[in-house]
Amino acid sequence: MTHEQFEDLLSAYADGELDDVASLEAHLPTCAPCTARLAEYKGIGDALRRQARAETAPAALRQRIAATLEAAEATAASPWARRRRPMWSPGVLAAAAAVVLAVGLAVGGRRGGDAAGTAAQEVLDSHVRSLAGDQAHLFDVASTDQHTVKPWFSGKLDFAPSVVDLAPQGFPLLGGRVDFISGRRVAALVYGRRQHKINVYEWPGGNESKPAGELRLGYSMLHWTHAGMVYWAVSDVNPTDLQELARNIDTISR
Amino acid sequence: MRYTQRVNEDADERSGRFAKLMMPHLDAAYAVARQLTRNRHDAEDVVQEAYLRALRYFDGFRGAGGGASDMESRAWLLTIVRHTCYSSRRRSMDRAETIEFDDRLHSNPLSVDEDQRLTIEQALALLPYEAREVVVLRELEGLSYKEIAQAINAPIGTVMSRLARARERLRKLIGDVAPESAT
Repeated sequence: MTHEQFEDLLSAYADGELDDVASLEAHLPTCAPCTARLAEYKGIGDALRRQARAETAPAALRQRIAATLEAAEATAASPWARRRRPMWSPGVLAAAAAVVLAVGLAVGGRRGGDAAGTAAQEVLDSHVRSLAGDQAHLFDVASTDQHTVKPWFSGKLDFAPSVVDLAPQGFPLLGGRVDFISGRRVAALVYGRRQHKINVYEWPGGNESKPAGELRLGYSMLHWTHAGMVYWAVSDVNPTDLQELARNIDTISR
Repeated sequence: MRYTQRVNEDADERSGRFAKLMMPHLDAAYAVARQLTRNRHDAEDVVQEAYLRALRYFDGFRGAGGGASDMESRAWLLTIVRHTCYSSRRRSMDRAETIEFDDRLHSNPLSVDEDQRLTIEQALALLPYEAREVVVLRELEGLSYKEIAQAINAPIGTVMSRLARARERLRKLIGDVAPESAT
C-alpha cells in the first residue's frame, strides 16, 4: 500500500472503525507524518469535546425550557386540548403561554407583584440582550419597509403583529425579530428615535388597558393592551417619547 | 399551587419522568445545536423547540416508562435536536442575514491569515453543514459509523469518506499541533 492510501485510512482508524488494521499498524511506526496526522485527528476530537464542556447551556435557557414544558403539560392535560386540536397547534402553544401568564399572575399576586412585573423583567432582559455585548441580536429581518417586515413574521408566529413604519412621526421602523417572553414566541419590532433604539414587543392577550409607564434600571418601559394585543415598549429614550410611539401604533395599526 | 390541582395526575407524572430523563442532557443538546447552527441565539431557539418536540414524541420513546439508560435518553434527545436544527435551517434559508453570514463564512476560507489560528469552533463553522453534521455525530455524540449512517441515511462508506475529508479540512484550518514535516 502506498503512503497516500494509508493516509486515507487514518480517520477511520482513529475511530476504531477500520476492519483490517494490521498493515496500517505496521506502517505507522515507520512514518512520522502519518503518526502526526493521527495525533492531530484525535486532538481535534478532544478539542471539540473540551469546547463543548466549557460552555454549558445558559441558565435562562434552562428556566425557559422548564417553564415551557410545564405550561405545555398543563395544556396537554386538559381534555379539550387533546380532542379539539392537534396537540401542538399554535393555538395550544398560545394557551400554554396563557397558562404561564396565569400562573405568574396567581403566584405573583400572592407575592405582592403581578404577571406584568415578571413580563417587565423579561422584556427588559430581552431589550438589553438585543443591544449589548458580542451576542447582540437586534434583527432577524432588517428593513425599514413594513411590507418586508410584516410578511417575514408569517409562519413564525401564531398571530399577525402590527407592523407600521412611523418614520413620518419620527419613529422609523428598523426591523424585527422573533423573541421569547413568558415562554411564548412574540414579535419584537425595532424602531429608531434619533440615535436610540426602541424595542416594541407584541403578543395576543389581555384586556384593554391604557399605557402605563415605569422606569427600570434607567430604562423607560411602557405597557398597554389594545385590540387584543399586549404591547411592551422599552428604550433609553424619554418616557414621553414612548407615550407618543404608543399613540401612533394604536392609531395607525388598527 | 392552584395550578397543579388542575393538572391531570398522569400528565404531571409524565412531565416529571420526562424532565428526569431529558433535562440532564441539556448541555449536550446545547453543544450540538451550537455547532450545527453556528450561533448561540439560534442554538437556544433550537434547543427550546427540540425539548417541546421531545415532550410531544415522548410516549413513542421506548424508554419513556423508565428503564432507559442515560445513553439511550441522550441519543434520543440529540436526534431530535439535530432534526430541529435541520428544519430550522430550512426555515431560515430565506433569511437575508443568515445568507450574508454564510457568504462571508464560505468566501474563500483559505484566505484566512495564516498567522491567525482558528479555534476548533471557528474552523468547524467554515465546513458545510453535511460535514459539520458527521463531525458532531462522531465527536460529540460518540456514534459509531453504522449509527451515523442510519442517522443521516447514507452508506457507511459515505460516512467514512465524509469524516475523513472533514477532519483533513479541520486539520488544515487549525494548522497547529505538529507542523507538517517538509517532505
